[in-house]
Amino acid sequence: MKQQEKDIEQLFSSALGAGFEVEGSTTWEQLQERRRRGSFFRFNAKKINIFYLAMLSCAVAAASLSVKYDIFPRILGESHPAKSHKNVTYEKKPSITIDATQPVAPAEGESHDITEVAPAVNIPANYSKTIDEPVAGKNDNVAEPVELTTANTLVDNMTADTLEEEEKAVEEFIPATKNKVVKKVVVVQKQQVMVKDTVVKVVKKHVRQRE
Amino acid sequence: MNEELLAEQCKRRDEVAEREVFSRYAPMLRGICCRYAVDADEAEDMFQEGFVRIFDTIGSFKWVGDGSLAAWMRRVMVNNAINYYKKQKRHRLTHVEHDDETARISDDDGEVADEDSFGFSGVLAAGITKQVLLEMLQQLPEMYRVVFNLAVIDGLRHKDIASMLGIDESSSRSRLMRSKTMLKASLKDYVLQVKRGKVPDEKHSLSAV
Repeated sequence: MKQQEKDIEQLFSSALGAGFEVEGSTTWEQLQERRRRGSFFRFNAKKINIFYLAMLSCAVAAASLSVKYDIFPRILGESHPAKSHKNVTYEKKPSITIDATQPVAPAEGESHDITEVAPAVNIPANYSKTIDEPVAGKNDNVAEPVELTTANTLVDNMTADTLEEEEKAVEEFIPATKNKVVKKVVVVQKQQVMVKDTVVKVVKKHVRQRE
Repeated sequence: MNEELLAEQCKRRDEVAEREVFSRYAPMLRGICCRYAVDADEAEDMFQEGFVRIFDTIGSFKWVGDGSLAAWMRRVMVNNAINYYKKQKRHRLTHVEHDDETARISDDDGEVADEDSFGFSGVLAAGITKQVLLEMLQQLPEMYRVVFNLAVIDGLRHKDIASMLGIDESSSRSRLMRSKTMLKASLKDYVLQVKRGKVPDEKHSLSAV
């Protein structure tokens, strides 16, 4: 049994051992081609070829795109530094000026019969100080005093979770403020008209008394 | 051009010397690949890969005497064949190795031993060629073929084979026993066919010198 095994070992090792040679189809040129291919794909810092340049440019492009579109923070679930919690301050404070010297048109639906030309009444520019205190009994539909807060004060106190929420809040705030300001202007105009009427009446009364 | 000079010139990337090395040692190295490969195509692929590796690593070769270059190249080619086998192992499904393999081998051995018709003298009498033996070897499952090659033809110890292949020494031994049993069975079939006057089909043959 053991002898048989040894015989088999000897048979194969003598037949296919050191002296065993096989002629094949591979030529020197084929081998060289394979070597060239192998060296092309193998990294060699001394021989930067087009393959590695292409790889490098792809890597740079990917990196720039990731920076531009925040790919990595999204993938990693990190918050963007720009979206961190912080108060947003606005440098420019919105201001509202009301030119009291402008002629005031009557409000829609109201008529003011002024038959006599009244002397010009100059309403001081700071007249708007009193507009928060409407004339008692003269103007019942006076709107409540408008707080002319600027966007800055609101946004300063606002700590929104994200910049988007803050921007959204600001976007909602601005039209609302605009509407309030427009209402206020209309109220001021109405009050100016009422003051004019009152002045005209007083003047007429004095004129009648003199006559 | 002697081996030492050839090796030195190959280290300097001299193409003439490289071509000389290729033409001188290619048949011998291709023979190694044929033993480890399953067919001629795989053998050629393995051979090219191995030769490229030889030229890439020839800088580490140290000439110590006549025949040292050939021995070094053989070693590189065998190592390349093992690496090739490891790479291919992931893609190929070979026979599943069981723990009770040794027990089954003993049974197989018993069957073969009982047959009086088979014997080494019978094989020699059948005039078996290198090519037939190579085909028998190539028909072995890969894990048995590699162990048989390393242990029997290349003369490595089971300890070294186990470390090269990443297996236990006992697995190496059992694989060797199994491969011998399978080869014995193949030889027996061949002898029987010769006795019956049928010459076995020599398809997929390689021109053994």
